[in-house]
Amino acid sequence: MNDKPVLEVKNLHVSFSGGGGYNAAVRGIDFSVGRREIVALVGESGSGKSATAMSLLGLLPDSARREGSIVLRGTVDLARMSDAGLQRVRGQEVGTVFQEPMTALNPVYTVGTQLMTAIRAHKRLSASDAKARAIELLELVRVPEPAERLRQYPHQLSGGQRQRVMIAMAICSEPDLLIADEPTTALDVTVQAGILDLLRELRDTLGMSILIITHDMGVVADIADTVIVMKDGEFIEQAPVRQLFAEPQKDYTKLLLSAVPRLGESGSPVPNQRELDETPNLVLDRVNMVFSRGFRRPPLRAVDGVDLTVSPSEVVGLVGESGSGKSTIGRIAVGLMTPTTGTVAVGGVELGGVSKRQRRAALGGVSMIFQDPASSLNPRISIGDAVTAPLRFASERYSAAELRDRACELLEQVRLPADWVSRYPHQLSGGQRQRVGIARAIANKPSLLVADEPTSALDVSVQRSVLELLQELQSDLGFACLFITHDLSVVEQMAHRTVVLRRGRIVESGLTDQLLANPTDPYTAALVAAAPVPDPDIQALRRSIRREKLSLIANEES
Amino acid sequence: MKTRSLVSVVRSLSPVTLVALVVTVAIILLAIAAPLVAPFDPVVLDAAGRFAPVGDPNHLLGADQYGRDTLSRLLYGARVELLTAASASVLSMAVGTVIGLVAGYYQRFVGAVLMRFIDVVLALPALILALFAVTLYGPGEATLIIVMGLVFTPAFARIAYGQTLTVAQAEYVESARLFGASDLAILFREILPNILAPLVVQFTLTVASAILLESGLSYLGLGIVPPAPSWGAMVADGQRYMATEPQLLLLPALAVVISILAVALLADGLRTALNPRSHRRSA
Repeated sequence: MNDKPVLEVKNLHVSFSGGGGYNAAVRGIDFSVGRREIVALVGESGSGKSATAMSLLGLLPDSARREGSIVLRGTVDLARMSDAGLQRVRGQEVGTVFQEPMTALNPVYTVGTQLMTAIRAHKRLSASDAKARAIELLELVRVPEPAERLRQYPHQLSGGQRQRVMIAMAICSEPDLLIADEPTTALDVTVQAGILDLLRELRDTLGMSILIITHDMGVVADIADTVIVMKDGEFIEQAPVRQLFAEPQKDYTKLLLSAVPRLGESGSPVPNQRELDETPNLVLDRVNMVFSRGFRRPPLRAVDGVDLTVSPSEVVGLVGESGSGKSTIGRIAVGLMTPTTGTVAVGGVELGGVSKRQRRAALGGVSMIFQDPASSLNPRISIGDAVTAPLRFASERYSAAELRDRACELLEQVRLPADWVSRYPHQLSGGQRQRVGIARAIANKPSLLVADEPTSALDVSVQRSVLELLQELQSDLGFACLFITHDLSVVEQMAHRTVVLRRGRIVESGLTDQLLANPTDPYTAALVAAAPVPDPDIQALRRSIRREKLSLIANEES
Repeated sequence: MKTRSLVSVVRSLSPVTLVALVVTVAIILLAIAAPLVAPFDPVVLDAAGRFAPVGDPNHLLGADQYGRDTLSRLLYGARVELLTAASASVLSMAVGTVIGLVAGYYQRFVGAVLMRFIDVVLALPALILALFAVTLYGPGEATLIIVMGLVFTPAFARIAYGQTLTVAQAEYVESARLFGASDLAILFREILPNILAPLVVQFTLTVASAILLESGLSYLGLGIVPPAPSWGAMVADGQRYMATEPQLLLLPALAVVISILAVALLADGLRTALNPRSHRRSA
C-alpha cells in the first residue's frame, strides 16, 4: 500500500467552452507522483500546466469540462467525487499554494484568523489549541516571531513571509500531497531560494509529496526529482531531473533548455573603446527621490544618492530586486519623474535648469521600452498608430502617408509583418506586443533607450528572441541603453557595465563580467548565488553557498 | 484612430441590437414627424370622445378625461421626451466626463476642487434645485434640461474620475507622455476611449432616470407646462383613473418602457461592437 503513488493521473483532458465549442487546454496527460517525490510540471504559457493543476482538485470554472481519472493513494478517484467530497479532500489530504501570496490571503483578516480558520476547518480544536497549532506551523515554515505574526494583517508581512503563511495553511492538516502553482514566480530570487529550501525541508520532515507547477527551469533544477514537460496541452516528455537536463529526448525540451539564459555561460559583451571626451548620454548626479507616504508615516526614500553615467552606445545594466528603486531611476532618466534633489543631464543638457522647450528637445532623443506589453499599448489604438506615436508628437510634422510608410518600416525592423499596421494589440501574442513596444521605442531614432524589464513578462523562448532583437538593434542603431532588470543572466547577456541597486542605493558597479565573477559586496554575492541555474548538479552545489550568503544578508538586516 | 465605416459597424451588430436600433430610430422619426402623422392636435379637447376606449374609430388609442387623443399625445410627447431626456443626458455626460477626466488626471489641486464641487452638486436634492430654477426662470423645457443636466452630472463625473485614476496609471499613458504628447492629446486620445464603456452604460441609465424625473417634475408642475403633452405627465394624469381606465396609465408607461429598453439595448450592443477587443482575430 505504501509504495502506491500518492497521485496517479490517467488520460486527463480539460477543455474550456468558448467561441461556440470547446477548446482543449489539456489533451490526454498521464503522470504520477510517488511518495516523498517532488514532481515538476513545466511548460510555457498556454501549455495547460495550470489547467492540469486546477483540474486535480476540481477548481476549474464551470465553463470547463474534465475527463480522465485522478486517483489519490491508489484508492479514491477524485474525478468521480462529489463537490462535498472534494471539499474534504482539499486541504485535508491535498494542500494547495498559489502564485500570488498578495491576493491569496484576505487583506481584512489577520494572519492568525485565517490560519486558525484553516486549521479548524479540518480538525475540531479549541481556540487556544488552534492558536498553539498555528504558532507551531509558523515555526515549521520558519516565520520569525510567530506569535507576533498571528496578530498582523497580510500587508504587514513581506512577500516571502506571506508565501510562507500560505504554505503553513496548505500543510496544516499534514496532507500527503502539496500542489504548488508557480509558488515563487512573484518573489525575488533571494526570497525564492528560501521558499524552495523550505519546500524541500517540508518534504523531508513531513514526508509529503509535492507537485510543483513552474515555467522556470532554474526552479526545476533546484527542487524537482522528476520533470514533466508540457506544450499546448500535450505531454512532451517525462524524466528524472538529471536525465532531462543532461539528455533531453524531445526537440521541444531541448529548445526550452537552450532558451534559458544561464548565468556564467554566455560571457558579457565587451565595451567598445571610446573617446573620453564624448558627452555621456545620461548623467545622474546624487539623485534622491523621496515619496511622502502621508500623515505620521516616514517618507520613503526610493532612490538614495545615486550617481550613474551612460555613455554613447554603451549598455548599462541596472539590477535590483523589487523595491530597490530601479524603475524609479528609469523614469527619472527619461524625464517622467523629477528627482527630489540631485541633477539629471540627458545628452549634456541638465533637465532641471532649462526652459520647457529645451527640456523637450533634450528628451526628444530619449525613448523607453516598458515592462508589460499588455499595458504599454493602448488597446484602442492600432499598432501602426502606436509605433509612430513618437513621430506624431514630435516637433517635425509628417504626412499620413509618411507615417504609414514609417510604421511598416518599423514593424519590419522588429520582424513583424508590415501589413499588421491595422491590427490591434489584443490580436497579438505577448512577444509580438513587446516587439511593437520596441518598434515604438526606436521610432524617434533615440540616442538613449531605457528598457524597464522588457522581457520579464515573456516566456523564456520568446524572451531569448526579444533579447537578441534588442542586441541587434542596439549594435545597428548604436543607441546608449539603460537596461533595467531583476535577472542577472539577462544582464550578463546584454550589458557592458552593471550597477547593482539595493533599497535605493548603489551597492556595487563595474564591468559585467568582473562583477558577476567576483562580486565584492555581500548583497551582490547573495544575488549571484541565489539566481537559479538550470542544471541540477550545479544547483545542488550552489545551495550550500547560497544558504551561507543569504544568512549573511539576513544577519546584517536584523 | 481609424474610424470604421458606419456600414461595417451596423453589419457587426447582433440581431437584438439591430431591433433596438430600428426601434430607437423609429421613435426618433415618429417624434420628428409628429405633426404629419398624428391624427389630432394633442391639446384639442373633444367632449364627445372623453374616455374613448382603445380601438375607438375616432381615437385609435383612446382619449383621456378631456377627450384629447392619446395617440397624438404620445407622438408629441415623444418629442418632449427626446428633447428633454436626451439633451439632459448628453449635457450631463459631456460635462461630467470632462470634469471627471480633468480631475482624475490633475489629481492634486484641480482634481480636489472639481470633485468637491461635484460633491456639492450631489448634495443638492433634485426637487429643491428644480423649485429654485423654476422660481428664477419659470417652468419650461430649457429649465428642465438644465436642472436635469446638473442633477445627473455627478454620476458621470464620479465614474470618469475613478476610471481615469486607473487608466492614467497605465504604461501606455506614460509612454505617450514620454514621447511628448500634450495633455489634451493624452486626455482625449489615450484615456477617453478607454473609459467610455461604463459611461455609455451610465448614459442609458440616465436617459431612463431623466424620463422618470421629468414625469415627476411635470407632475408637480415644475416641468412641462400643461396642456403640452409629456409621457410623464400622462402617467401622472392617468394614475387618477387607473381603476376604471387603465389604458390612460399603461399606454404612456409602455411608451416609456419601450424607449428606455431600446436605448439600453442599443447602447449595450454598440459598446460591444465598438470595442476592438470583441472582434475575432483576423488571420
